[in-house]
Amino acid sequence: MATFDPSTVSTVELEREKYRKSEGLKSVITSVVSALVLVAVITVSLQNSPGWQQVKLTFFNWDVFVQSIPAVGQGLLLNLQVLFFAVIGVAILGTLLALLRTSRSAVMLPLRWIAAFYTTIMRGIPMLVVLYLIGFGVPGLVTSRISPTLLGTVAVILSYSAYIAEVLRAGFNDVHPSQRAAARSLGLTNLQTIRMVVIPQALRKVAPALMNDFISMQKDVGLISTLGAVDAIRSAQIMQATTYNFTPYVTASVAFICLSVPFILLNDWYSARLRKRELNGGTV
Amino acid sequence: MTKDTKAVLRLDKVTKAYGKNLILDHLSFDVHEHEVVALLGPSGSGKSTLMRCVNLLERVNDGQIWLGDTDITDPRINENAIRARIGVVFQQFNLFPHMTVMENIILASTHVLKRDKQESIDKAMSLLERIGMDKKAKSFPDRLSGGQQQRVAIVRALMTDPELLLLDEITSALDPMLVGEVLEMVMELKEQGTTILMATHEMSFAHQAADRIVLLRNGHIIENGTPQEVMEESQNPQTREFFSYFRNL
Repeated sequence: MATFDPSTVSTVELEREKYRKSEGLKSVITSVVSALVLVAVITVSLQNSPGWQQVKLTFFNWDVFVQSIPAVGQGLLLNLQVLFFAVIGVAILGTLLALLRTSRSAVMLPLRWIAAFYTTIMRGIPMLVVLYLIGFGVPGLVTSRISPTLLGTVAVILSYSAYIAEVLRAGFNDVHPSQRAAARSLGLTNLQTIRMVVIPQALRKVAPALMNDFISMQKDVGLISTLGAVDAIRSAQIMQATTYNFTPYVTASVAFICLSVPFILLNDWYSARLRKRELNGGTV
Repeated sequence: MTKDTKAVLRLDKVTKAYGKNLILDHLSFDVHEHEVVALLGPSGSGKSTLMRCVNLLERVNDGQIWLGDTDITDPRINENAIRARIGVVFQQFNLFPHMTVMENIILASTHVLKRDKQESIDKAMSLLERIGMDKKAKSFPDRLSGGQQQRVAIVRALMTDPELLLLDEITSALDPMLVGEVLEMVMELKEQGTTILMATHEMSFAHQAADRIVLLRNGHIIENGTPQEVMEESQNPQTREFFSYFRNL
């Protein structure tokens, strides 16, 4: 096969490349300057607003920020634990619901209805209400104490499974029927076909949407604080109650942002890669 | 065909309807061992439906289909086991885009026939070498040309040592240059004694490769004979009309 040697291109291409580089440099300089201007405008207008000094003391107090790090950090470990188990739970329950929703066998009909009902209702109830219903309702039902962390995790799983199930269902339906036909023609069973052909392709298609829900879930595990579990938010609240300073909440927010940024970047990168692949080297 | 050769595939009054729309009307014919049968006919004549019935992707409404000694229309049979005995190649290749060429090829061997993985890889490699594509084993299907994808699809269908190979218009999605390399591969399979039932629009290829031609029209068999008998000597006006469209090509 013939190969392309970039060092032998014509002067026309060299000239074009030089022009593109200079244009690229210009746009970098423009974006740096506009960013600096924006930061300057925000800083000046904040400094000049009458209540800024007070707001700065209660929300952005550096000393309180540093003091709050150990407690908030300790709480964040609980959030991470909850997140870990919630992700596993949501993956299992969400996939199960999606499979039920897309199954076509007659035996599954009642289960299909239940799954449809579940996803419809669950996506309609505010997350906070689900937390209260599970967190305070279930202990009332069995009249014994259950760890709020456990109940919070269950509530997060129940709520998010409904969203994830719908995303996955869209993915399953998006895999072309000819792929199933090809797999079944090779003699694969229905389950093998779903596991080895449908799910891997569906996941690829809906990966950006799934990661988006994951990022959203990452911060929503902070809501378990409403049940009394001592997580990052709850720790911040405890500190705020004693010092009357809101900076610990900012500390917790910074912690959650730090958690989500890698996944946001990963998601952006992956979406861009998918897009690039679909464009197949085009420029528009 | 002599009487003593075994029928690999036997269709007996096969009937298929979608609602009240009759697609296949009591079709009967055999495909014998080492025989290449070309299924011809205009679009909508029932070729693809017949292929899908043989591969159990569609359920027949009446009649029986026998694969060797098994009645594959019997609802008590294990459909997956039957499908593994038939190799299928589709018009649109239908390779799995998330798997490499090698993974595509060995999937049925390792997961349906439960053969040893290394053994499957070795076999796949030797098949790929034969079509000069061993260097593409680790590539993903979207990096291959249409002709290469279709040849990989054929190799994938051959991995389970099928008793019968179904080729469903396998060159219809390819440009004329790529058609050649795929048809060459089919000729090679014929020489090795593979039993093939193929639906095709490549008339000259059907003439050259097929031992027998079955011509379908509106769900009926209007011809069943050697290429010579069907394409050149038939006096049936419907047959002559069908082939008249291809005379000038």
